[in-house]
Amino acid sequence: MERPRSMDGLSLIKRVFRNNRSLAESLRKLIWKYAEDLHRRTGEKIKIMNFCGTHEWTTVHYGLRTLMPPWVELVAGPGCPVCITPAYYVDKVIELALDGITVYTFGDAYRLPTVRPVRGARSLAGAKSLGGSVEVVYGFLDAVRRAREKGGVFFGIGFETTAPSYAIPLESKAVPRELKFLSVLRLTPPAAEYAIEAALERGLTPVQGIIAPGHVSTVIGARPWGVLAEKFSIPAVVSGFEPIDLLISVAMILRMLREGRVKVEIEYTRAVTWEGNKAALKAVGRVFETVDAAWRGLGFIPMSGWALRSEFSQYNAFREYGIEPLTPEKWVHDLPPLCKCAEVTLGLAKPTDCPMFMKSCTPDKPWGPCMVSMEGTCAVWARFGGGGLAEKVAEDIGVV
Amino acid sequence: MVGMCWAVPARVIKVEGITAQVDFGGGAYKTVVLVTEGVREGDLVLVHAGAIIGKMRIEEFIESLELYREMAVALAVEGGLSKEEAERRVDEQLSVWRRWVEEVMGAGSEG
Repeated sequence: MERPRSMDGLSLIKRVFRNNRSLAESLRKLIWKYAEDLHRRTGEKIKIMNFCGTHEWTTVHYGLRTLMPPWVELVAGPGCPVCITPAYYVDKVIELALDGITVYTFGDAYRLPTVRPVRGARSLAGAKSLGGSVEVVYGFLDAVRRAREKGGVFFGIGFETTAPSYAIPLESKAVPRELKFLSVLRLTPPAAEYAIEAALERGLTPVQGIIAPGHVSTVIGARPWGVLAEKFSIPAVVSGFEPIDLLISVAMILRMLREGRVKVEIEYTRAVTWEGNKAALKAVGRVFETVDAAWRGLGFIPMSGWALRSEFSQYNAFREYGIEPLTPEKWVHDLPPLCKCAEVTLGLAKPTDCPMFMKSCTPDKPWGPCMVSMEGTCAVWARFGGGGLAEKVAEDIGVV
Repeated sequence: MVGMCWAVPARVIKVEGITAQVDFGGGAYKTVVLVTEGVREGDLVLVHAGAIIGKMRIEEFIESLELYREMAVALAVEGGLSKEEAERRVDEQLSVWRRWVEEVMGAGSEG
């Protein structure tokens, strides 16, 4: 019998994990049951944190918070590399662009605002409008191709997911010497730890469950989340990115809490293993070394960044252009006045707690870094009504 | 605008050294960096910021559904149903999705 042509792996994901009302409804019941039992026992709010902008996107876009019981709080933690790239390095690439050196950048870092204008430009987009040389690329490979003719520098932002796309071409000598690389790569588990500790230090509701980032884990594996889960005695589930994935993951976390189990489990089994992508990790290890690194609005986090190893210094933009790397002594608070991006990144505040949100800071005219990328928490809330609008609409039409 | 931290599933059309051509569906094609071993034409992969960061294992789709099944059965048993009856009800709910997954897997091995 012939299969319908439309049914393949891609449409299967949509039909099973996205547009699946029956399963969503069953999962909602599971979540409520687990949460009710827990709430009856402790009377406390259950705070579950995600560490990936795409998880926050799915949560808000599909209105998953409307399916949660009132005592289960889904909170966005540090999960957007654009949001946490230090303003100092944004200043440096703006300067390079204005000096006529072509800066290759991902689309969402193109509009990333710094704090004070650099020679009149507040972002790479601003630099381009002033005649600077900036090119938006889809990936590192585009920069590699274009740089053969005119050279330039790649603004190497990203988490563990992006690092292999830099490491493999650099290692395999596919990158022309004319292309320099400014590494501002950052690592997710140290930031997750920082965010969990921030809530504890401030005496706020502690994080009780971790929705671990599926795509980061595709590369680093699920194991690092086990270390975190053990250290803080909280369960973690490595989750996929469709709404059904997230609902299963929340149910798994609540089930572990209800049974008093602290473990890391993988929901996103179709893409994540315990070991991760070994080939990619090895290449990253040969090209980059782990260093203490600055996070925008937060300061230095130990061993949370990847810098180019000396063997690759011919590509190193720091060396080529005499850029001094930031040090803890030199780092200064690098958010625009009134911007609450640091608190939002750590899950200590919601975008709607910020006085600038949707007033002086909008997706069209971002004031702070969390309003720029499709995965910045403020940008997601602004686009899809995360500040309670979705809940209000759901209430009005009687679906909750 | 494509967010840099955004990974999307795609089908591999052609592997060429450290790069591969992929099809995102709907006529969108790209050449991306291959950072995963053992990727072949026809594989379903995850593409992130211009790189294939991992393969998607269709057979594992069922595994996520199994995680749900285990929770749903356990709760139904707590609620007073017999294990057999609980399993029968949950399996009935899951049967259509399981069949879809098997169909796609079968098509993959034939093609």
